[in-house]
Amino acid sequence: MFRRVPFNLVFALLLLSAGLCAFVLPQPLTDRARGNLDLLLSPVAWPVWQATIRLAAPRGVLASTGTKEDRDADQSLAKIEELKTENASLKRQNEELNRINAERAVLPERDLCRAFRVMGGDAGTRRTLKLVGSSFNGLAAKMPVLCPQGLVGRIEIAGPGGASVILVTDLGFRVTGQFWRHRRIGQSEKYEWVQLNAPPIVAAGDGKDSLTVENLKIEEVKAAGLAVGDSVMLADRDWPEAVQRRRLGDIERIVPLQNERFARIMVRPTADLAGLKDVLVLVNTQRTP
Amino acid sequence: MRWLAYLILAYLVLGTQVGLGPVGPGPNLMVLAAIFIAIYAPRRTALMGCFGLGLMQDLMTASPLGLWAIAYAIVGLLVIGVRDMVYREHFLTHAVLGFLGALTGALVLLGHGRLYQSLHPDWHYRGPLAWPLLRSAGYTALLAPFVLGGLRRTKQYFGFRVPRRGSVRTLRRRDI
Repeated sequence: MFRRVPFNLVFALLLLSAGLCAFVLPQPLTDRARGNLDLLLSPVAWPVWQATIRLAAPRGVLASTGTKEDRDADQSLAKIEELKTENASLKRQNEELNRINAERAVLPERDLCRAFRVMGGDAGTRRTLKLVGSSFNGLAAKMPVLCPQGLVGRIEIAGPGGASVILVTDLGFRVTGQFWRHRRIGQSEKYEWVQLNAPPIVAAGDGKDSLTVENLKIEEVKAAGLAVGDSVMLADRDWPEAVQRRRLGDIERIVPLQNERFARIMVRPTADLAGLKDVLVLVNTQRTP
Repeated sequence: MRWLAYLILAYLVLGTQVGLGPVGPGPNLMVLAAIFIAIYAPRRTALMGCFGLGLMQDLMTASPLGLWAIAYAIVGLLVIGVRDMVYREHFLTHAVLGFLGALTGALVLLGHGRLYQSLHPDWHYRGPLAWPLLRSAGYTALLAPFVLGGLRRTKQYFGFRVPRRGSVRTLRRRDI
């Protein structure tokens, strides 16, 4: 019976169905078919991703990750011991512990988060990361994803066979936030975070490696004293309380838009999100720290 | 065509594409696999093969489902249309087909981005940027002679049936 069905008709129907899914049906409806095969590819994708990191990182395509910083810190401590400058060493360690304690106060509780390995990214053009984890590991859509340097993105799809994270730098990704500055307290060597007097902003991913803010007038930028190096922190009611005030990135550049009334502020995440080997997922979004 | 070989090819290429994914738009290896199938397989098999590759890629992206399936089906149609007019084994053919294939995919994605945004203004997806896609097409063209040249050596494992010229009965039966 099937032999009599013309191939061209079958192919046209397939194309029509694909067209309906791609153009007409809302994406959340068709997303249900996704996220169930990702982990099948991990035997190929993960080694390729590891090789890419090793080849690309020394050439500056990918920024350094937390592991390298840890190694640098260890080397620094070893050098201090070698030089036997005990006083300086103790002072530095004390400062470091104070800094970690200060960060801990901002970070969500550790048991709220789970670490997941990254095995690759989007097979198309989106800015996503694929995790070695699934709904069996407690992953679900819309869970915030973090790294030590700040916010990474949000779980977009999670199924029994895998999960993918939409990065904050994906084109069209939007969050609201506030500007903050890390400044020295008087003449002392201590630093503090201060919220700048700027209206709430909408940061949108630019589809490359940054976010852009375009809803501030030039007068507002000048009045708030925004400068390169100031940070953008998450302040978005759609996100759980535990991730509010997490850093989205630092101001890289401020330029006037073409109409010269509004400014375009380029914000670059402090970590290279595409080069992360591991991420933390806030799996329990109900509890607050 | 031996579908097991096809599935192994799709698995390896898609896995590599996912592994390269976080770096950003790089060479489109899946379009090269689609071109390989479209160059050597009979028409019907090639079209279904290209569509299937696109569908598999759709399952691994955050873009709307069916988008890459349409793109690769169009690439398949284009390659099938020109494959009898070109020297299939030449590296320049591979490079040009690689560039045109990736460019066709890029045009489908860009067109979709514009249309989808107007149909679903509340959804955050805005379609890709043009420049990274053009760059990706360039990378694909550079890589095409190596990938397609390598795949050409494995075509015996795919069992592509080549119709004998002049035999109308053969042409009809073997789904050319």
